[in-house]
Amino acid sequence: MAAGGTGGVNKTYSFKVVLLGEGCVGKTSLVLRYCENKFNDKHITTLQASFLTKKLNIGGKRVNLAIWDTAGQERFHALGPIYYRDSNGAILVYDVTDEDSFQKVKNWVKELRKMLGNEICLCIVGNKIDLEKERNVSVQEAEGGAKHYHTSAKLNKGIEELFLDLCKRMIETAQADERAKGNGSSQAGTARRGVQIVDDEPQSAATAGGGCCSSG
Amino acid sequence: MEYKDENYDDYYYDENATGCDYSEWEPSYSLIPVLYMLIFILGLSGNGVVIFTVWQSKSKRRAADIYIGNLALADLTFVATLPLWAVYTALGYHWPFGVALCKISSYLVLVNMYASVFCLTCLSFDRYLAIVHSLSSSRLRSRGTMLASLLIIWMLSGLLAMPTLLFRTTVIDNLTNKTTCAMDFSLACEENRLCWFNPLHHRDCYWSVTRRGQAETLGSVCSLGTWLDRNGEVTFKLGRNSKIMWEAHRGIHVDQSELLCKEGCGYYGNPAWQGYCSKCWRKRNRNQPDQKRDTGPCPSVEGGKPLTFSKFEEKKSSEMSRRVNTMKRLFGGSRTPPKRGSEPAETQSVTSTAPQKSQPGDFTEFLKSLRKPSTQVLHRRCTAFLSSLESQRVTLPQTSLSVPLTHPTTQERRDDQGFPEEQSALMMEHIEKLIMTRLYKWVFCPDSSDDEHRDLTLQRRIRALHWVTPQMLRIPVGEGRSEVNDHFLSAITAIIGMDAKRAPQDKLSCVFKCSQSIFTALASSNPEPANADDFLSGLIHVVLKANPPRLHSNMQYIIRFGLPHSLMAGESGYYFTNLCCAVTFIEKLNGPSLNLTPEQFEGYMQGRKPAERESPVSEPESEGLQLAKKNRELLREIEKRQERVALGVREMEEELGKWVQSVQAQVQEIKANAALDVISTKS
Repeated sequence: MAAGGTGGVNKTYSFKVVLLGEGCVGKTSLVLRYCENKFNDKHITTLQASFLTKKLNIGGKRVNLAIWDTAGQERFHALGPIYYRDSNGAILVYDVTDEDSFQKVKNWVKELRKMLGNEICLCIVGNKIDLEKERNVSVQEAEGGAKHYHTSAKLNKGIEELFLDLCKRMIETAQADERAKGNGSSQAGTARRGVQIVDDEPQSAATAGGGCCSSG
Repeated sequence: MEYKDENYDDYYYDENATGCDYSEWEPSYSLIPVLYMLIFILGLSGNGVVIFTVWQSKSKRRAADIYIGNLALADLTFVATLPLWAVYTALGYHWPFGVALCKISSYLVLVNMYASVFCLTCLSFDRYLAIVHSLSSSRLRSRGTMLASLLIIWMLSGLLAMPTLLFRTTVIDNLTNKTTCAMDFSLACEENRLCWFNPLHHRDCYWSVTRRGQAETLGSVCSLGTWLDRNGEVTFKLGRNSKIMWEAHRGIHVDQSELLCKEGCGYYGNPAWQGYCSKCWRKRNRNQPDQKRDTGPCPSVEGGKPLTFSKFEEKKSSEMSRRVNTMKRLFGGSRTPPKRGSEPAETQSVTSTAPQKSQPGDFTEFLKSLRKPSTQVLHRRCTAFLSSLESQRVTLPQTSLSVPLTHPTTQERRDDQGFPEEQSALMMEHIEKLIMTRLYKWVFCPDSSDDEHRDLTLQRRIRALHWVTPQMLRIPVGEGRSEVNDHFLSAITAIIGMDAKRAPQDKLSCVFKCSQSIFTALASSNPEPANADDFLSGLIHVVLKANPPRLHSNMQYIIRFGLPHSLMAGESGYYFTNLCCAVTFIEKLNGPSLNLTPEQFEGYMQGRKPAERESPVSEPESEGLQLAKKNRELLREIEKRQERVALGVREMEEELGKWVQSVQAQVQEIKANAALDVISTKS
């Protein structure tokens, strides 16, 4: 593992990662599996699965991961920009048995690239690979765009890898950022100090009617 | 008045030979001197106090105070001559003090009169300007004008009283062999002595009345003046009160002298600088930290920053002092990184909550530690920053930039000294709280933004959406469960309480509390941990029900001035983002997002109930209606029961009647038998 050349041992990175995706694709299960290693469990300790933190140590670099679940239902689609503003990474989850959810993810990728450029590390995640038989999104079709992962929250497959990989990429991006600034002293995770004026009018995507299951 | 007296004076002198009866005024020879001396004592002390007060209160002297002071001065000079007049009267109008004193004292009396009149005129004119033309008259009411007016007053009164100085002299009355101090117009009006006074000629004896009355007149004027002056402060307080009341009716009218700097430098002061102008305020501020530096010299800038360690000892107050000392030693000595052993469990927990739940005690500790000499540097920076901001009267965009700008500088200092990040973050929060609490009133909902307008728009919007039910928002909670409602209520209370807080992180912690309550409410009906969809729906519901005051302003304030550290990353940051989402959702709410057709939505928005039978969503009725229905059923049941009870009562009555009859019958039967027995035994 690449030891941090420039950063000191004590350096702590703070990353914000948003989970995007349609409702019912398993975003919550994914993050709960990662942070609590539980799936559909009665003994889940947290009250909520919308904001979770995880502390990692990658090659001597400490990483504080804040994972933001976002409201994925169609009616909340327009609120996306408020969520993903200033995030370092985005995990775009789709359901391999649901073609529609993959279309949504493709739209998300376009939107994120347009809004945030290359500052954000994207991961496309095809969840529910335990339901391989009912697969509706072919692997070839899926692996066209950003970096792709196949996971199953139920079987705990591919999730650790997903997050580890994402963290490494985010660290790289942060270090590149630092180098570009030519100032090693400022911290990567907190480099974006200053005032962020919220754009309260996020560009809205046309929302069509049609709901989905209300609790995922 | 006095002037007339002068006329009569001459008249008296002239006509003295014609003889008015003096004897009836005999008592006045002893009474008037006593009165004079009384007035002398009262006037001297009273006017003295007034002059002394005006002289003392150099800093907040207003134009009116200056006039009052001059009025008092004029009266004082007059009062000073009163003993001479007392003696004069006591001796039966005999002047033993010589010509010079006669001239001077008469002159002073007149000067006082004119000066008093002019001062009062100026005073009332000044008040008039202050009240009626407070803003437009600022140039007219400047210090220079006031001084000029004073100069004119005194010169004019000195000039007007001049004739007395010329004509007054001592005249030896041959008849009574007394020296009187009186006007002698022989210089001006030699051959025709009565030329000035003909109109008064017919009033033979009037002169004597007035001559004696002079004492009373003078006395009353003098005492009035004295009273007025002594109560100057009070009367002016009253005047100011009534003025304020008047202002309330008239609009904005500010006293000029209140606008001016308290230092008296002539520039305008500002309430933000405690009534000083910018220069004087800065001068004062520069002096204050200097004093502090003198009293508490910093032994080492590098050492001793025990600021935030108290945070870690919340529950172990007994150990606090020992720990702090240890830490002090650690920091004072070398630059070794501090022990991490004493850090809280927060850092260890995987799914921790953000350090947002800072106890109020922490901040107090922080403030206390600010007073220590070792933290003077920080304190000075804070105060200097605050005062520089205040003195510049910064506009909004400047502030929003410069507030976070200070933080990096502090941050760097912390880093230099090898402090762990958690502590500097904590310290930053404290500093932010300190600064923002002070700046709150200037930067919250500033005039330069349209926040207020948007607040109102949002409020109206939320009010128009009162009909939205939890079912429409698809909140997965069991209906009508009291504990769910309780949790939602506490969430509503928390979010309403946000407006009352001042520092951004306090406001954020209100959002945090609100969110926690929503999660508890969601958890009580759903065992699975709530996801973002549920939470956002719940939050929207809470915002709609609460309609928090000045919501938009509060959010803008947090966005503008909250620390990025807590705003962008922490858990409360997440909740705040959700609040932003909820508000955006509410602003954009339309039919489809509530599973309503646009027509239904319009119908709801216009306040009429759209066809309930058609819409599947509107089948749950409002709480009130349900309650009414329930009550009606209850009432019906009660009615039935009542009927049954009434029936039972009627039956019982009948039975009772029967029983009574049967008993009576029995009694009569027994009586009849008994009577027979008695009769039989007697017989």
